[in-house]
Order: sequence, then C-alpha cells, then structure tokens
Amino acid sequence: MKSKLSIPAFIYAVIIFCTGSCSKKLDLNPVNALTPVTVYSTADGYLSVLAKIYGTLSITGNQGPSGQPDIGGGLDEGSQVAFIRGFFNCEELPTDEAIVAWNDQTIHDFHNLSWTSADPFLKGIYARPIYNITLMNEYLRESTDASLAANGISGTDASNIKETVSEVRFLRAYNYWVMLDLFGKSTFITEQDQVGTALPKEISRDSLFSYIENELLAIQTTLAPAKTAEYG
Amino acid sequence: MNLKRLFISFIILTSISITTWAQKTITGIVTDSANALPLAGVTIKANGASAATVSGTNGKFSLTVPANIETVNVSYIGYRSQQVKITDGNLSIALAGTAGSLNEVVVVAYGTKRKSDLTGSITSVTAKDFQKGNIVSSDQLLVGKVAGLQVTAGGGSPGSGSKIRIRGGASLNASNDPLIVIDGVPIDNATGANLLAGSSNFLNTIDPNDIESISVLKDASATAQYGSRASNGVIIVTTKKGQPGKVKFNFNTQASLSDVTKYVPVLNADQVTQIVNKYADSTGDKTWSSLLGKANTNWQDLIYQDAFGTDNNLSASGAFYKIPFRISGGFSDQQGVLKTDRFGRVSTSLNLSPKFFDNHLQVNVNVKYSHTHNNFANQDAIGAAVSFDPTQSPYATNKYGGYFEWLQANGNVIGTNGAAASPNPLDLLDIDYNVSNVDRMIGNVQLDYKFHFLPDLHLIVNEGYDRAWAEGDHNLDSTSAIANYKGGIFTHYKQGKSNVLSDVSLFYNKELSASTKFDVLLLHSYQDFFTNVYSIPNYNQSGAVDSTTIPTYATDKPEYRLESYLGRVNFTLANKYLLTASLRRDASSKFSSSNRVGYFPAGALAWKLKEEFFKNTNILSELKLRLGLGVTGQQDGIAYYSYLPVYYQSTSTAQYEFGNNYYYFLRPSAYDPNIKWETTTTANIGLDYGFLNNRISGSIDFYQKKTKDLLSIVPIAPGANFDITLLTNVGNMTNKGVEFTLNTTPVQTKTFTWNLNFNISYNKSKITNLLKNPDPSFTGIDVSTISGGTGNTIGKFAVDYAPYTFLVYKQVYDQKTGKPIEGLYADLNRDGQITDADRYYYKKPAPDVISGISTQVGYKQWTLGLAGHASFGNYSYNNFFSNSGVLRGIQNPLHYIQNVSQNYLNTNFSNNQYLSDYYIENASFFRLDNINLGYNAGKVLHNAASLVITANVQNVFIITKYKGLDPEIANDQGIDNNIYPRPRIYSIGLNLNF
Repeated sequence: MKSKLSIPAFIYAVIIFCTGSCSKKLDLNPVNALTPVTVYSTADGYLSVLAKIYGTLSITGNQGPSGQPDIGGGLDEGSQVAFIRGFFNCEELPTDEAIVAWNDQTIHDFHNLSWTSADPFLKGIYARPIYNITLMNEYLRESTDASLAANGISGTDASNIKETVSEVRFLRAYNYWVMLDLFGKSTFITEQDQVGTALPKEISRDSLFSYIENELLAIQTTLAPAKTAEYG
Repeated sequence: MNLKRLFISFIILTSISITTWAQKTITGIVTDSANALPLAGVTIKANGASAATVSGTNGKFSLTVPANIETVNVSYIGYRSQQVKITDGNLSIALAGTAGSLNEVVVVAYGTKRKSDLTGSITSVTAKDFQKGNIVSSDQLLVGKVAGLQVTAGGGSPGSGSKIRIRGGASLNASNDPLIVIDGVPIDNATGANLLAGSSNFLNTIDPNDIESISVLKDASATAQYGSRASNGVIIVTTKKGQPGKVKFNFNTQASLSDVTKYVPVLNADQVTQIVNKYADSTGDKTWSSLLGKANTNWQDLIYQDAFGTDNNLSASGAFYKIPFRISGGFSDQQGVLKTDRFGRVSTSLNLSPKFFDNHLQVNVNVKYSHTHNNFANQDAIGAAVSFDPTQSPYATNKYGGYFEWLQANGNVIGTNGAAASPNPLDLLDIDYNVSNVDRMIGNVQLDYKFHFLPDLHLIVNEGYDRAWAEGDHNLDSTSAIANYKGGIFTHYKQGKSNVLSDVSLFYNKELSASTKFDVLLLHSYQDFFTNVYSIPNYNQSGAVDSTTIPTYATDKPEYRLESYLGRVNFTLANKYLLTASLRRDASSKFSSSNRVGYFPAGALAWKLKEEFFKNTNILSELKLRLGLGVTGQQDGIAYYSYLPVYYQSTSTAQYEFGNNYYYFLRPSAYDPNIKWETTTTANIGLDYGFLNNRISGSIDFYQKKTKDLLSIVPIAPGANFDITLLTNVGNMTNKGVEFTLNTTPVQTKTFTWNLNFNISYNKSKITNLLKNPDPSFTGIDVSTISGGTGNTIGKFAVDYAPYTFLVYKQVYDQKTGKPIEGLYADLNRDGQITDADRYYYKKPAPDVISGISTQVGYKQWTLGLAGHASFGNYSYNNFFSNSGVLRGIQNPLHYIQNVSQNYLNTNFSNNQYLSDYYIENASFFRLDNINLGYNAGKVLHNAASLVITANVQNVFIITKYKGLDPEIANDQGIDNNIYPRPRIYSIGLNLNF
C-alpha cells in the first residue's frame, strides 16, 4: 500500500516540475552575435560600425576575400555587390576604355549601350549606395546627443564620436552623389526613417542636388581640417 | 475457538472446492486459414471472464476458465476475430487473414486507433509492405507505397538522403519536409545547411530492420495535433517492441551487388579529335589541336565500380523475468558504385515494456543507438569524368600523384584561382580522404499510469532524448590538383545535435456502451533543440594554418525551443458517427514574444455509411465518409533568431584601418521583427471503402490546402532594411488534389494468393500572392540558379504559377532539319528585339500525378513480388546538356580540351544558350523499383527454426522520354546537373526465425 501511494506522488511531482519552469524559457539570443544595446554601449562598438561604413566603399561583405555578402537577392557577390566594381562598370564599360569578355549574364549590355531595367549589375549598383546609406543612418541615429547619453557614452569617447558624425554625413552625401550621377532620381532615406518593410520615398533630381549641397555646406566647418584626421 | 476454526476451514474448503469444481481447461491450436501454418501470439480470451492466454510458437494454447464459460474470443492483429464455442477435446481454430484488416491498429498522433475508427487521412505501412531489397536508409522503405507521398532518393550514394513530399509540400522558403516522429519523439529532420556536418542523411542512422510500421498523416485533422510543424504532413515511425512469451530470435542477412547500368552519353576520342581538327583546319588556329592526346579513355568507366554490400540484423524478442523485451543488433556495410564511396553502420536497439502494479503502470523504454562510418567519395569526380578530354591517358609522370593534369608552362595546374579548372577525376577520388563518424542515440521512456481509483484515467509521461555527434576529416594532400596551390587542405570538423522532449498528458477514455465511447487527451509538451557547432580552421599538409579560414568564433550553440498544449476529444456514437476535435497551442522561440503563440484547431467527422445503411449486406464490408478541416503551422527551415536585430562581426580577413590599427566590422543583419509562422488551412473529404470482407479495399480523398503568411525571402525596396531581400511572411499558396488507393486480393486459395496495391494521386500547387505592397511591374522572384555563367537563374516564383516554374526563351527550330537554331528565339512580345521580356513561363518541375503499384503472388512456399512507381507531368531543366553541349565546352579559353555531351551533335551550338526552352524536357517516368522472389523453406535444422530465402533486383528498369541520365531529380528546382547514378542492385538474403 505504501509503495502504491508514493508512486502517484512522484508522478505528480514530475508534472509540476515539467509544466512549471518551462514557460519563460522561450526568449533566446544567438550566442555569437550582438544586439544593438551591446554594440553601442562601448566606444569600440561605434568604431567597428564606423569601420564597416568606411569598408563599404571597397569590401563586399563580412568575410574576406569573399563570403557573407552585404547584399543578397541573388546578386553575385564579386561582380554585382561591390561598390567600386559596380561604379567602374557604369562609368567605364560603356566607353572604349575597357571590355569584359566573360559571359556573365548581361555584362555585354554595358558595351552595347543596351542595358535594361532588369539588369542585375544595375540592380547591384543601385542597391549598394542605398545600403551604405542605411548603415550610415543607423550610425547617425545612435550618435545623437540623446542616444549617446542613453547608451552611457560620455567624455572624450562622446566627443570623438561626434567628430565622426561629420565624416559619416560626408560619406552619405558622397553616396547620394553617386546615385545622382548614375540614376538622377533616387530612393531617399534619412536617419528619421525606421528599419522595416515599408516602401521608402523617392527624391527627384533637383531636390537631391539641393540636399547634397546642404549637407556638404553644413559639415564644412565641423570636419577636421585637411590632413589632420587619422588615416582611414 | 474451535467453532471459529471449524467455520474458517469450512469456508476455505468450500472456496477451494468451489474454485476447483467451477473450472475447466481448454486446449487447442490456432492456424492461419490460408496456409494451415500455426499462428503464434494469438490472444484467446474467455468470453465473460478475465482468463486469457496467448498461443505459443506452435500455435497451441491451454486456458483454464470457469466452468460456466461457453465461448472464447480469439483475436490477432491482421486477422478476423472469431468467437469459438468450447467443445470437448482440442479446439482447432483457423483464422482468416484480412487484407487491410479493419481491426488493424494504426499509430496516430499521440496514440493509436483502429483502422475502422480513423477520421483523418492516414495511411499505415507495416513491415510486410515495405519496399524490399537492399535498403540502407529508412526513408527508402516507403517509395511508391502511399498515395500522395513522394520519396525521391538523392542519388545513388549509399546512405544518402531522400526528398520526402506529402501532397506537394506547402512552403516556398521554409522547409517542405514533413515532420518525422520516431517512437513519440519528433526529431530534428534538418536538411541542407542545417544538416549535421558529416552526415548525409539523419535518417540513415536508424536500421530499417527495427521498424514495425510507418504511419503517414496527410490531412490537417490528423496532423494539427503537432501544431506549428505539421503543414507538410507527419510521418510516425514505430519500432518493433517485445512480445511476451518465449524468447524468439530472428536473424536477417543480405548480400548485394550494385552496378551502374547507364553512363552519361558523351563524345569519344575520335569525335573530339575530329571536331578539334576541323576547327584548326578551318581557322588555322592550332591552339587546341596541338593539345590532343592519342588515347581513347572512357572516364566514366574508370570512376565507377561494382559495389558490394552486406546487411545483417539479429534480434531477440520475448520476456525476461516477465519483462517483455526486444533487443537487436545490426551491421551494415555498403560500398558505393563511385569508387572510394562507402557507408557502414553498426546499430543496436533495445525495447523494454514491463508492467507494474497489476498492469496499472506500463513502462516503455526504447533506446536506439547507432554508429555510422561514412567514407565520402568526392562527387565532383562525376562532373569531372563526363567533361574530361577522352583523348588523354589517365596517367602521367608528374607531381600530382601520377595522374594526368592540364598544366601551365610553370608546372602548375591550369585554373583561375589556383585549383585545377579541369581536374582528373581519378585524382579527385584517390587523393581525397573524407571520413566521418556519426554516433547517434535516440531514447525515450514512457510511463503510462492507470489511476487506481479511476482506471479509465491515465497519466502518460514521455521523456525523450535524441543526441547525435559527428566528427570527421576531409584531407586533400598537396599532390591533389585542387589543393596543390595551398600545399594541401586538411579540414577537421565536429558537431553535436541534441533534442530533449518532455511530454506530460492526461488521457481518459470511457465506453458508455458497446458502441458509444469517447476519450479525452490533455497534453503539455516541451522540446528543446540545440546544436554544438565547432569551427576549426584548415591546415595544409605541413601543418601550417590557412589564415583565410580562421573562424571568427570557435564555437556556437544555435538553439530553439517549443512549448505546447494540446487538447483532443474523440467521440464515437453508436459505432456510426465519429468525431475528433483538437486544439493545439504552440509557442516557439523563433519568433518575438508578441508573435510567438499560435493556435491550431482541427476537427474531423466520420460517418460509417456501412453501419448506417448497409448493415446487413455482405458484399460491402466498409464504407466510411470522412470530413476533416484543420489549421497547421510551419516554422521549420527558417533561421532561429530572425526576428532579432543582431550585429555580426566580420572575419579576420575583412577589417578596416584607422590610424595604425585595424578594426573588425560590426554589421547589422536584415530582420523582420514581426515574423511569424506560416499557416495552412486544409480541408479534406475522403471515402474509405471495402468489399467482400475487405478483399477489395481502399480510399479516395479530395483535399485543398491554402497557405498564408508564406515565409519567403522576398525582394524589398533598397533602403527599407539592411538588405534588398528579407525573410518575411508574405505570400499565399494553394494546393489541391485527389488521391486514390486500392488494395485487393483477387485470388486467395489454399495454395495460391495474389494481392495488389495501387495508389495514384494528383496535386496542383499554385502561388496566389507574393507581395506585401502591390506592384504591377513585379514579375516574380528569380530562383533555381543553374550551373554555367554567373548568377543565371531559370525558375521563378510567380503569382498564378506553380513554384519553380521555368522562365525561358522559346527556341526556334530549322524547319527542314528540326535542329534548334542557335540564339534564335521567338519574339513573343513582337517588339522587334529579343529581351528578357520575351521569356515565357513554360512547365514546372513538380509532377501532376504520382503513382505506386505493388503486387505479390504466392504459390505454396514461393512468393514473387513487383513494386514500381511513376510520375507524370514533371519537367526538368537538363543543365548538363545546356552547360556542356556546346563547342566552347570542348575548346576552353584557358587552353585545355574538355569533353561535351553528345547533345552537341544534335544542336551544334558553339556558345551556351542556357535560357532556351530546348533544354526543358519531359521527365515523366515509370520505374520498376524491385522484383523480389522468396522461398519459405519452412522448418530447418531439426524443426528448430524456420527459414525464408529471398532474392531481389532493385531499380530494374525505367521507362521515360527524358534524354538525360535519370529523370528522377531530388531537388525541388528540377535542375539536372550530373547526379550520382542510381545503380541496379542484385541481392540475396536469408531470414531465420528460431
């Protein structure tokens, strides 16, 4: 009789054990990645994001020499996701200064001046400056006085970051200039636009020109004088 | 005192005498009415008392029952039960087997049901119906056996995985694989990138000899009980359990020989020589004609071999001090037809099912452990063999292991990034050591406790643990043509995968009368899946690390958890009306806390028309109408943390310099904070029929599945997020179809039986929506990357079309010769130029109709069986022809000669025309999967054992119009590019019972 009673008790204990403690365990974080809170809590975090922003001018992804591309969407990392190569394609291939003999998709359209809106190389060089700008907007959002205070950055760290803000605005204006040169009108996003799935606005050629001009004028005085900033 | 003692002894005496007077012993023998062989394990129970027994191996039984008992019930799964009148002397009972017996017990979600009580669309395949022959991996047991279930082997490598699709699959980017449950434990059936490193197929760790039955759950009313993972159907695998009684042994052994029956047709040395010389003569350019060799090598002949294999399994089943058990050990060793390919497995399983406390506590312990040893052959050798210059001899004196290679003037191989562009296939096979060892243990303990105060209420606890550990090496010596530039590439990898399950449920069932009953189940389930990932850099042969492969993180532990509640009711009224209703609440860690919970209701009604209208006819033995409706989810196959904004650090080779220091990048990933699971609503109408005591039986099902919130990687506007595509919920898809199954035993006499199983199903899938914001210029998502050129895609996800529909140019043919004219396509939009806008949607890879047939003839002790399956309406893109059927394929710009497919002689294309519809071919086929012959030798070894000898041929022949090597393609995209050939396998086997 004794043994029969203790078995149900044991089993009830099993139920309680299993059902009670499991409910709160569904919030999981990846082991090897960092959330924005962790990234922007140190000055080094800001520097790493800044390194990425500068890196977008030449490096295609997060792994060298190739791998983990910045932009997916079926684009080939080496030939279509790189900034400098895409820019080169648009500026040089339609002239008689360079020819590509490989059979990569529609690359010959550049030579024949017969590119269409479906061209994957053009898709890449459209997406790349805008991608760069998205990163920069994120950095600028996290670099406002309010954000720096909220993230616990102060003192020389904060003032260093504030100096880099002008550099990032310059890079953003540069990327918009590339869009202006290649496409005329462009997708337009600033640090006011949140990350999500909504369709961003379009800006016309004239307005984009004015915007770039205003940005450059605004940072003229806040940028460090020529040849005084550190290398990179 | 005396009186008391007298009284007590009087009571005792009368009790004894009452018990002795009121008993009698019945003896008898139970046989199978078809062949007069004794049946063991048959239950004989007194009708009206609790006395029961089980027949022994010789069919004999002995049962003591109260004297007033007049009949006994004799029952055995797969046979019609009988009520036998007790007479003097030995009872001789012959049980008649039923094809597709209604009393057959079918394993369903969280329980079992009799086949006649099923309300959903469920098919059960037991061991006797499995595909026969040399079956290395358990998924192959079901090929062609179930309507609506398509199992396609990945290729001919032993142990390689299969693509399993139930009713076409309901997802685009999430997994289309069904949920697989083994003995109550849902397993992590990861495929592709999530596959355990070093294992080609997670299911090849289970020995098929240990499997008792496989239930395929097809419609939502059956699968919704698994909630958020069930949209693509559920496959429940149940392993063999111990049977009480004397210990019985079974030994099964098989030896097989595989060979390749068909090579890919390529040009021979004379043809290549002729073409190259013709070019040289007409242009004066002797670049390639000077490279021609003098040999005539058949490269495919050199890489394939006749492969031997053996499979052995010894099992013992019985009762050990009243604990029913089954223990088995298996050893399987299989070579592949590609040289150096080999799969070995040692497996063992143990099942204990003791009962305690007067059968109130049933314990079921299952442990399956296997160790697989994979020696992977480099499958790139297949592509290399069909494209290597046949005029060259395979061997040469050089630093590449003595294998001929294409070399530059400096002695290095010709290639763009250091590795040989056209490596010698023998080099690839020989100078390649790729070995992995996978250990896997799946175990579960199930306790089923019937409460003493209320025996109809059960408490069921199921604790499961699935742990796999793989470790391997892939070493390429520095003499390898593809590793020489790095001084050799030595890779070591290891990974672990675990799955912990904890299910607690309360189950109550009650029979209100003989024909009315109900049961209720309340379940709480918690499951945790995690992987231990180790990233190890590569080394070269002298031990120096390859710095480009140093990982950013040495370890990782991706993990996800699932917590669920399930409530289910089954109700049977008057044995005519059946109702099943269930609701499952799932919470998954893959989604944010506001999107985490999903509810999955389902209901099914069944109406036994036979009991209602045709109760007294003998011709109709079953007619049941089933209606089912349910909602299921799908969240497998997507990243574990995709709702979180995360920053990832770059590798050491991607950094930026500020001042004098280099800094790693931190890059945010694109994310959708509102991501949630796909939801599929399925409606199913089915009719189960049976005639002539189920001599003819089967079912017809109509279904419609609508999926919304499809998890899709869809293009989003640049600037909206941190990428131009995003995994998000967008999109709708519908699947509609019909399934028909027929099981019949047309002839059944004492000496001759013939049975036949046939199933056929039709499925149509269509994408109905792909965008969040309507965009009139949106033409669909490009999918199906092909080999050749960079980034060429041949397929589309487009609205109103089946997934992976091909988008191609319409080829124009020469009217006189019928040959395609290179580069000439129809200008479909009549705008005067050939552009992307002239591509049109043409055919799809998924079949319209699939079908399976098996038949078996038995004459006295012989049986002969056939099984085959077919697929109609599926088209494939012959990437091998499109990539290699061109002149440019022979004369490579990097100055070497290659071989091309014989298709070049048909087209005479000089440059690749990847996007022409000429390469989309009808890949419908009928394949005869096996012919098996068996001989029941009966009693051998002085009546100690019974022996069955079998002989099998697998992959007997295939009928198809497809011009490539094999029309059965295991990828969803329908792209055929040098598959590992499926060999024909001859095997003989012995099965000994003792």
